[in-house]
Amino acid sequence: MLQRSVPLLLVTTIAAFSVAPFLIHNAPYESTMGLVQKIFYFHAPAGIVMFLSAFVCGISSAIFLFRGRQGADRVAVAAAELTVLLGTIVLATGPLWARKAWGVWWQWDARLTSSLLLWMMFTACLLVRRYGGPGSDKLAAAVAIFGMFNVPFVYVSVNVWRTLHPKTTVVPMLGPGMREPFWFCILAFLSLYVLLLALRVRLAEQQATLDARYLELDDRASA
Amino acid sequence: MLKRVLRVLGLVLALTATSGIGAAAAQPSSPPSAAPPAATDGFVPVTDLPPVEQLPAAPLVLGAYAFIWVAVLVYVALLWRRLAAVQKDLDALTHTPPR
Amino acid sequence: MFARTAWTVFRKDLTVEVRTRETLATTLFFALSAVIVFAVALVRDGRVVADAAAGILWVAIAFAGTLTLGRTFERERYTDTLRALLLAPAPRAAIYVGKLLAVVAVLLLTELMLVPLVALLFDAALLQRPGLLVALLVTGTIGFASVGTLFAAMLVRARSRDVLLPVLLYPITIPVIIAGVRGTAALAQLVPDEPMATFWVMLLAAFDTVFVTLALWTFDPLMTD
Repeated sequence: MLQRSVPLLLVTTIAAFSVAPFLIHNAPYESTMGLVQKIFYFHAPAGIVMFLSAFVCGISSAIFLFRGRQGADRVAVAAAELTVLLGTIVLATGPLWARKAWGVWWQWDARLTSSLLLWMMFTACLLVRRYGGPGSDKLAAAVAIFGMFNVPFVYVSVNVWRTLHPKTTVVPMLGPGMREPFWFCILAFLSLYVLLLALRVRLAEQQATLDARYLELDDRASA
Repeated sequence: MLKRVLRVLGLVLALTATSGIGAAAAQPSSPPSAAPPAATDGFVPVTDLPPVEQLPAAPLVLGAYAFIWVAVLVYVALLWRRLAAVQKDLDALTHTPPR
Repeated sequence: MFARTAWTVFRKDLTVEVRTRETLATTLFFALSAVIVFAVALVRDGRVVADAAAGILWVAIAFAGTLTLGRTFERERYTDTLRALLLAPAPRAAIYVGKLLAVVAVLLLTELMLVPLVALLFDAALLQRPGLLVALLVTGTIGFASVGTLFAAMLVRARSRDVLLPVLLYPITIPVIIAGVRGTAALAQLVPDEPMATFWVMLLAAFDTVFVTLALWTFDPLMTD
């Protein structure tokens, strides 16, 4: 199902991302931050989809671990990779905004620190898959599950420690003219996410088929 | 088939990227009028922006959007290459006559 | 059956440790070296930066914990006894609990010597509320070791296990470190901030509950080939 929706997703993603720049361009300026606040239209949706992706990865890892479904493992690899990609986007665009809004590149603020930690956990997940050797798929699954359950703990602990970021309450309170482009960008990022997920899962499937073929040939050669 | 789809995707993404960067770079002097609501805890839209305000922010916004596009495109390109490589190996294997 | 298996594994590990004192001695010395390195970084004009003692204590605990976990399972790998342990007709989760208790015991012994040392060297009033400090140390150590024992057990077969253990462990146990450092710092103030320290103990207790449950739940499928 995921694979069959690729052409449709491709069209919607491209359309959404072609329209988004104009919507952002036409959105009103923010009163205190001005132009730099426009980073928000891609920064925040990327962050939201990153957290979503982390949960996709954690849940599919759990399905893989307890049910032994190879398909779930492929979704988990794909979601882990995309979490890291989106995390990189969030962590790179955030400082650019912070430089203007707060005057520094990085602040040890709750949201920043938890995003960084989430990014680190899923990078660790990919590192295990890459360098862990045999059985690393299960280990990576465990890291993803633990990472998913760790999100609230990281958030609460860092939150009590520090807070500076604009609050989440800012989203429902977005002024008219800012709300629409924002939700549009969320949809655009969701569509991009599902598209990339489908493509990455396809790659994992092809690799699995290739491995199976090699084994088959090997068996035939040795027989 | 997939390869062609990906090639089209790459092209269109590249095109939208340039248009996106262009749109972000050319911030207009007349944004649409919107009455700023009196919110204290949120973002407040404003119509008139002092020109001093715009100067240092533009490279940052530009950089941010450019980074996003480059990151996504690099990822898509890598994905594309890996898919093509696996597909090539698969084709080679299927055309190998069984020994 | 469950408790007895866990107890047997725990006693076995502790006996090995008591006979050789390998982990305890090396870990303690390593923690001391880490403390010295931090002293060089954080002491200025003979005075310590505020809250430094709490940070130093917990970083030393985290380093020592990684070392302890590595040693405990390296021993099993070297003699190839982990497989035998897992093949034994006993609940897998009990083996995990036994290992966890052994790691926690060794770490608590290390902390027993580390805390007075840090308090002395950095002139920190760590012992104003001993009850809360012990609660922080115990819950923090269990939280750190619960995740660590699971990952170390799984990394026994992995290729680059020495590097991967801290790589996996530190990002996931960051809440423990934050809670430990902030809680200890709250206790070391001129007037100890008890509600703050209690909050961190509660957070650590919740962390322990969630992650011990999660580890017990995943240990069986994870250790099955």
